[in-house]
Amino acid sequence: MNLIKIKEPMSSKNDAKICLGIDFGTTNSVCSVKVEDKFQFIVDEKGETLIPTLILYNKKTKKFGNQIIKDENYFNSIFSVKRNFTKDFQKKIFEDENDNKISSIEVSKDFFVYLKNVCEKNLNHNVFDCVITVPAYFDEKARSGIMRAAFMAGLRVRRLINEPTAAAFAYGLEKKKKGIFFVYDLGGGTFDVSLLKLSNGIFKVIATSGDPNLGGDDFDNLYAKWLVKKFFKIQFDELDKRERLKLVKNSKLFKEKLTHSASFYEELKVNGCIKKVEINTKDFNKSVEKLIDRTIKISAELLNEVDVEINKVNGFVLVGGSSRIKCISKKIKENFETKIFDDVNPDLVVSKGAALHGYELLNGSDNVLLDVTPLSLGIETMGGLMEKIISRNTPIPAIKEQTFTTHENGQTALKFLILQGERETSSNNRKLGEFILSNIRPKPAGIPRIKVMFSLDADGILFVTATDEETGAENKLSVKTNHELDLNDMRKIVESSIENAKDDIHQRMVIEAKVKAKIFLNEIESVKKDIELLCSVNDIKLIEKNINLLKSSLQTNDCDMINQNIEKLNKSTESFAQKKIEKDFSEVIGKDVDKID
Amino acid sequence: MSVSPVCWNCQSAIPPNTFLCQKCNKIQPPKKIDEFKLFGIPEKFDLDLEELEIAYLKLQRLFHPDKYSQLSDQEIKYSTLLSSMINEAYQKLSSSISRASILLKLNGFNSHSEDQSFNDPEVLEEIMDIQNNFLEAENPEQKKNSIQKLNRKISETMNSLSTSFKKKEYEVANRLNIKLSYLKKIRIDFKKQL
Ligand SMILES: [Zn+2]
Repeated sequence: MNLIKIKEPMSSKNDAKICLGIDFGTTNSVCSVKVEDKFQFIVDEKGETLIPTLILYNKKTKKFGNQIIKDENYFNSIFSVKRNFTKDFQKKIFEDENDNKISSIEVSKDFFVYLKNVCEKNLNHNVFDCVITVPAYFDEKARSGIMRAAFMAGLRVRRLINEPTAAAFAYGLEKKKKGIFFVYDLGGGTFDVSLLKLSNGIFKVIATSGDPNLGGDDFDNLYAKWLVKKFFKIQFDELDKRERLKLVKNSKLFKEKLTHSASFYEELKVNGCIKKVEINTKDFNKSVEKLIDRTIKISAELLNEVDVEINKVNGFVLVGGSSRIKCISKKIKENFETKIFDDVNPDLVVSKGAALHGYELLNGSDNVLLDVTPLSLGIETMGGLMEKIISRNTPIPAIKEQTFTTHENGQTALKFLILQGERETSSNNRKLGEFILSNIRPKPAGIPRIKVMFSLDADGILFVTATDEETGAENKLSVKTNHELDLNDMRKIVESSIENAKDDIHQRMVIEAKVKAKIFLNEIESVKKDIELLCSVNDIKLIEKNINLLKSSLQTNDCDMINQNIEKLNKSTESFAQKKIEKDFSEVIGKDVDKID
Repeated sequence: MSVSPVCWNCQSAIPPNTFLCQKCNKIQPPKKIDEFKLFGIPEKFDLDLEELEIAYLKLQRLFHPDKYSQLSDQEIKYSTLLSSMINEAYQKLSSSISRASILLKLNGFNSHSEDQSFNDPEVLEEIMDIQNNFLEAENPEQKKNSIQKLNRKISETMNSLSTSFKKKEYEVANRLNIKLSYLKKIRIDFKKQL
């Protein structure tokens, strides 16, 4: 085929666009940026590059990162919020400074707002664009959760990239490396491994694996358990929460100290009892051995799976603060005959890779980053099994289609449950979402042809479409939960608000109000039929009027007006909501009676 | 009669097998194209994988969504579609089994899918032998030997497959390709048990 060279957009160095690289870590976060050919790390108000991922809501105030380290309420802060993204991050399990119940997404949003402000103070002007890194082994749901939190903070996410890929990108560019490299990335809460091929400006991930719930935090916990058992003869679980947190904090400090000295004495206070204890590498290594063994096993499995001989691998690049633990490189050497590259700062290299990539996204470049999906994606089929549509380690973006059919005569609807994971039975995999394709023309079982298309984009976000090939009935789904706003809608809201916003705080409030309004409007849309059924003509008119009012205020950036109109619409639907509850209840009762018959 | 497509932006004609407008340089929606033509590499079984890789990277450098992140939604969509198509074609050509299937299809031979009942007693016996040999292995050393034997069998089959393509004996090629896919499946199973 004929290829024509794309011309790089001409940009004079002075108006190069700015894009933050954000490494949102489990224990620490790092931001960096490349401005006019110069790369720099962002420092917070205490002059620190490493910003602890801590949030403290207390007495009408919010505090973040290093502001909390010496605070008397340190132990009341929210630790490791990122870990919740692999669980139910919508659950409102925290309380903000005004005692409102909030979810992990909202806590993360506040933290992103803080990071954004810190960056703007460093750079002396507004920044909206960013590339955010995520653990390579994070599933789709966790990725879209992180993206949502960032959108809500008014950040325009240009790309989500995998942490080990970002590290390899920075490492390869900086050290001008070529060949096959194994990135071993042990962070505060996650463990990732990626095998990459680096050649002239190409950074190609061959395969990736990991454990989204294994990291430095687990080492601290395990070592804390060992310490209290050994020196105080107490079971860790018998301690109260504050004592446990204190002990874990100490165990973390000891762990860090052990990276430069082999043994030392420390005072340890548990339940009011003080003891002077010997801390040494040997005990530490023994207490955490099973975790390290697990990382070795995951590494070996990946190498085995890809059929790359170990002698073809140039070496292991160690990334992530927890990779500083001394016995890790020893174990790697024992198990794999390979070189170890620890000549990068393991805490900072991920953010740097994100910033460099962000710069290239906005200002053009010849480099290419090619990544893969860490986990298989599929659909639940008969008998609760998962049918894979995109298998793990497929290069992204990826579009795959598969045809499904009905299993009952005359069936007119089909339910699709979308799953991610490697297990055969669907209940062991993560459920990403479900949707129903209705209006299938009734036919004998096995005759209709329903085409399901999975489209996984370069951020690792999935879009699913199901089409009945005969009737053309189509149901689009960007995997989302319930009435939540689609990521594309959110992206658009952020973009239009950025273009129009006068100042930063105002801009953020506008985004929040608009997102809230959109979610509400979507909810109302989904119960439209019930409204027509249950409400009086006058009520319906009033609701419609308020819907239009809210919709038209969405065209503006007046967040007071948007909020007022949300409230108006809410008031006018109150009596409907009550009727709907009664109706749903009577339907449930109705069904039960039928069953008795 | 087929009408040659025109650029969505400037309406100039788009020559076959190209995805960029030669006049305005805009990315075009992907069209169906066979994998060999897409990469502009010779249509043969004994593919130079290095050559494939170079062609693949050259295309991704032009069409990966990272290169379009600042452009219109439409262009982002086209680049996602094209980049996905390039990824899939690359994966298919990289694997000898799917590469053989593509070649069979291009030569008008309706290749049988692997799932179809396969009853070549000679081949089935060969496969049984390999499996028994592995099951009877008493220690890891013997198991490794058994896998090495399997590896030799795989490369022999690959060679015969290549010869049959050169001789244009597609019926034979199809049988050998099914055999190859069996052997490769067994190898995955064996490796899991190591
Ligand atoms: Zn054109």
